[in-house]
Amino acid sequence: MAARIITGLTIREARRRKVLWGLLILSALFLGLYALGLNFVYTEIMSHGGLPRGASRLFSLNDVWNFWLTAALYGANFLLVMMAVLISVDTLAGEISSGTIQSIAVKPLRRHEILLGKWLGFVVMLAGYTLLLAGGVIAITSLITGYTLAAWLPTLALMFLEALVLLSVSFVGGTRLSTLATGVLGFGLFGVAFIGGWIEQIGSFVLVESEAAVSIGRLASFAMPSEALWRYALSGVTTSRNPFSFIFGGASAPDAGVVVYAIGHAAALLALAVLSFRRRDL
Amino acid sequence: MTSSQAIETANLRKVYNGKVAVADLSLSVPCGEVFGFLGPNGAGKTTAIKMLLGLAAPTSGTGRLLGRPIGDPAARARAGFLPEHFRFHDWLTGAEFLHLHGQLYRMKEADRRQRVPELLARVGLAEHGDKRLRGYSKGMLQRIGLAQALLNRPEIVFLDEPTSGLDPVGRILVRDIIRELREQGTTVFLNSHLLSEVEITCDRVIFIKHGAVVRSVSLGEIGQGALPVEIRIGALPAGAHAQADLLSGLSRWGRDARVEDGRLHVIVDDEAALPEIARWLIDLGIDLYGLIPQRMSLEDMFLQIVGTDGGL
Repeated sequence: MAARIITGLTIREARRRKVLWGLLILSALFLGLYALGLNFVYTEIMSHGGLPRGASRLFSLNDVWNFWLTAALYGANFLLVMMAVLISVDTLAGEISSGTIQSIAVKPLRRHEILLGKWLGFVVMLAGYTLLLAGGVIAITSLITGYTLAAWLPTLALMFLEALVLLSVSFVGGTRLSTLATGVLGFGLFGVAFIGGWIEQIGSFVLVESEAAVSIGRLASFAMPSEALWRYALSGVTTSRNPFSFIFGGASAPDAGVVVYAIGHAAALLALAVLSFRRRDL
Repeated sequence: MTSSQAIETANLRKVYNGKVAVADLSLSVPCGEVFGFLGPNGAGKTTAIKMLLGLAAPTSGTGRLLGRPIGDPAARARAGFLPEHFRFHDWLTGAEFLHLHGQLYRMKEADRRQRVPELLARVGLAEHGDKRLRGYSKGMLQRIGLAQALLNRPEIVFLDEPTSGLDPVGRILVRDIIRELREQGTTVFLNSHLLSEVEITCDRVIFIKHGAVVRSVSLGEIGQGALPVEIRIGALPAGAHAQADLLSGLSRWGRDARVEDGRLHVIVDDEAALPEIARWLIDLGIDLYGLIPQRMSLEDMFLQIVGTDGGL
């Protein structure tokens, strides 16, 4: 009950401080640009009656649309994880440092209700953002080209889960660190996972095959499973002849265990945030 | 421990990163008392309030608020708090802010609809309920914070420097509100270093220094007990011997009899000594111009107890 009030407050604050508007307008811009570009390419290709003969021997039209879709989802994914950290980074750290949280925390509610209420508020916003941005990319692709990503639902769910992992990092940091340090922690860990993912990819590439590199990459994924989740999502998106699949999905795609691990990871971080916040002097 | 005590603490201690904020706080405040918490900056007043309200966990020691262990939300449901820095969600309007805090107190909507305008009017913000807190002045923020602390008709109200941002009109408002609270039987815990304000409003004050209680004084007691008296007479009798006689004569009624700046000073135990001293001086043939009891103000007491170094 009390947590629900805080959830409402969190969403109302995002709306009042124009965070929601910002996300909405920038998403519209992102999707508009994508639709425009894809539409030009579609019209161009179709005006020639399809792919040139040489090209059509290598890949199909669907491979082309799939390539476009993957590129746009890559951008959406990056925006999503950035926003997960950005919109939540100040909610605890900022209110603790300004003292705003004091008049809230002396009310008859428990610390975990404050924290989980806020968390839930961001979960709702990020769910909407995922649906709008990634869902928008998939829908636009389908509308313009007629190519519908079969695994659209798991893709959206995996991207959302990735945002939740980042959100939980931001919450753990916010209970103890300043706003700035929390942001550094969130982006920093994302960077670690990102570079770890690349090391693993390159290490497992046929020409290289370095077990040490793969191990380092996997270690980074254990610390921060966001990038592994994304690569797992990609493996369900890309067709075999999409160049993205060679880079990201093909060489070393994580298995479904990463999903279970990431859920556990986010839950553990959230529990840690609750424990840390409960002991925090405000 | 009885529930007639609004606050009871035993050896409450708080150490932040090796620095002692509250050393050893044992106090009890009976229900219905208007209680002043005095001490120099850094004496641990705010930290003590934070511990009582569950904002900071004590390093050691125990405490009860309204009969319940500190940190229990059930006790906080019956308490109100105006924080020292009164920073609130400034994107809310005054009325929205009060509704939010009313919700957090689990107040029914009908109750809030009645209570919010009532309190806005009480703190002089009836016209400003629809404006965002961002546009409020310091004094207005403190007023809305005060309204927030009274929403749930609390049994105890903690006011941490409630007039720091207020002009004289606002200060009178706070004083009136404290008086009303007293009449309703609400316990008030007033943290202030505006001594004149405390002197007017409080039943009892506690002085703390370095995070421990130095002295507890009922304000009715001030002026009782030791009463310094200054005596202005025409001319002091000539000669050291005659002066010594005069001082030893005065010592019958009190102590510390001395001559200072051509005036006589003595500290008596009882006001009844004053007419007797007057009669005695006149009988001696001394011209008496003034016999002035020097009431000890809270400020004198503060300086005497805490010291001019401010306890630093």
